[in-house]
Amino acid sequence: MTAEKKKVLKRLSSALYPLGAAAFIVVLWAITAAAVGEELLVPSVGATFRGLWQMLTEGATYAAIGGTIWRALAGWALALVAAAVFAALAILFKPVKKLFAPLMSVMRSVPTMSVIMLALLWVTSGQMPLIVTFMTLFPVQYSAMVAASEAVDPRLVEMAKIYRVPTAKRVLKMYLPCMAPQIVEGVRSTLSLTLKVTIAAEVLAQTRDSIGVGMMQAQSFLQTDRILGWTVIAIVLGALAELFVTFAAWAARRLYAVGERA
Amino acid sequence: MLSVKGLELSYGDKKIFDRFDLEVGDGEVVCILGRSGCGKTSLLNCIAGALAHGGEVNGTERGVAYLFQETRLIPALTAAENVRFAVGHLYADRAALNAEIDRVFSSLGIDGLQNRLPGKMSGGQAARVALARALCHPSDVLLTDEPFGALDVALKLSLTEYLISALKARPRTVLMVSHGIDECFDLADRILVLGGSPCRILYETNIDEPRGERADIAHRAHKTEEIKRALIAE
Repeated sequence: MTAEKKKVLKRLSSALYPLGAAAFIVVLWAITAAAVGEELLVPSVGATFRGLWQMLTEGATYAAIGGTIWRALAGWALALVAAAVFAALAILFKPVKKLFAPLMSVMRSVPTMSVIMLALLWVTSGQMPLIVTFMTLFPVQYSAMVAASEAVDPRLVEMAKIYRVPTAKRVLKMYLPCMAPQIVEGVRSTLSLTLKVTIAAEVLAQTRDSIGVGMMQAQSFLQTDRILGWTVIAIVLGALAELFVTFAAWAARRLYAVGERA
Repeated sequence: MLSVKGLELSYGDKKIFDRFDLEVGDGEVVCILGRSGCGKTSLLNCIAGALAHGGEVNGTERGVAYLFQETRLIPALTAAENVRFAVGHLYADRAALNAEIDRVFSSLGIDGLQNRLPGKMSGGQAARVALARALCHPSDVLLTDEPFGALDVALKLSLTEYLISALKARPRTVLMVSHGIDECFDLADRILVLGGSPCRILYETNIDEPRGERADIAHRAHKTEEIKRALIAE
């Protein structure tokens, strides 16, 4: 067999694993639905996808998806920017880092529910999921960035100092490339958390045009197939977001590499 | 000339250097021997400007090339990028820098490795890239801290050979911390044994024969004995 053929086969087989996993879930689901035999408790795979299809023909579904994406993305991006600013301060100034450490652990351990309850009193139901998403993600992203900076070898820092490398060059060519893989990983791992938190907050805030309210309404009308339909939509959105970040990181690496070697 | 005058350095209550003086002439190679922790690396770091200290250091206005114990290459940058990172800001002309990188790489036998990442190199290749980085520095002052310590004997010998020929082609003012007496005899114009607390020069000897013709000089054995005695006596 040629090396080329082997490569193609390897690619194909690596694509088989996620497909296999999906097939496993569907089979398990079908067996469970058949065993329970009650569409209200566990709707069959067919019924769920019929429900999902029905949902996709309704304009309200897209309004809800759009609203949720907007809130999740805004909360996530705000947290990312704020975390980057605070992390930069903490990395450059040791006392700031020490000051932030207890604040961040407090923020991390505050239950999401108490943030939701308080935010319900303070802001409108449209803003609340955004605030809650921000509050939940900010400390996580901050910690990921500070941890990434600690992964930069102090011996490299000393080398740059001895060779009197200008600060801007140190940041661009040493700190950022050394931190980038960990930052991307940290950012990617918060994406699925973002959707979970945003949707939970939407349920409690009764936010208009949101996946959360869509789920809640489906639940109160005992439309279990639609709850699962919304779940499938949320999973697909999460997967798309992760793909997007992976692609953005790849594109950034390519651009960076081309700029450097030119 | 590289000169250190009245160097003062303390770690907590412990005085490492107390009015320590040292002069290294232009183009002179000085090797330093001494027990671990006696202050050899600290001396290099003070000269390099990596450690805050009292006293004066002169002759480093153009910066120093530094060869570390480890390679200290940035894993995200290729070999050539690593060199450009460390010395690029010292060259006005980028083409001249790239030409110098290519010249040094080819003389070190690592031509073609310019675009390789450190993670994809062997230990010997990475050591050569680190040496190339130091040799591309325009300064005539080279500080080295047991640079080939972790390599196998054959590689260590070939890199030492290369350093000798590089010094012949372009004389540099070298201060080299070493653990090997033989290595010192091969490279040095002067050998110092440091020790004591605070650190001072315990023994000093000049090697007058030209580098490369020292394999069987008559007094080598005698001097080796003296160096050993100075090292052990402390």
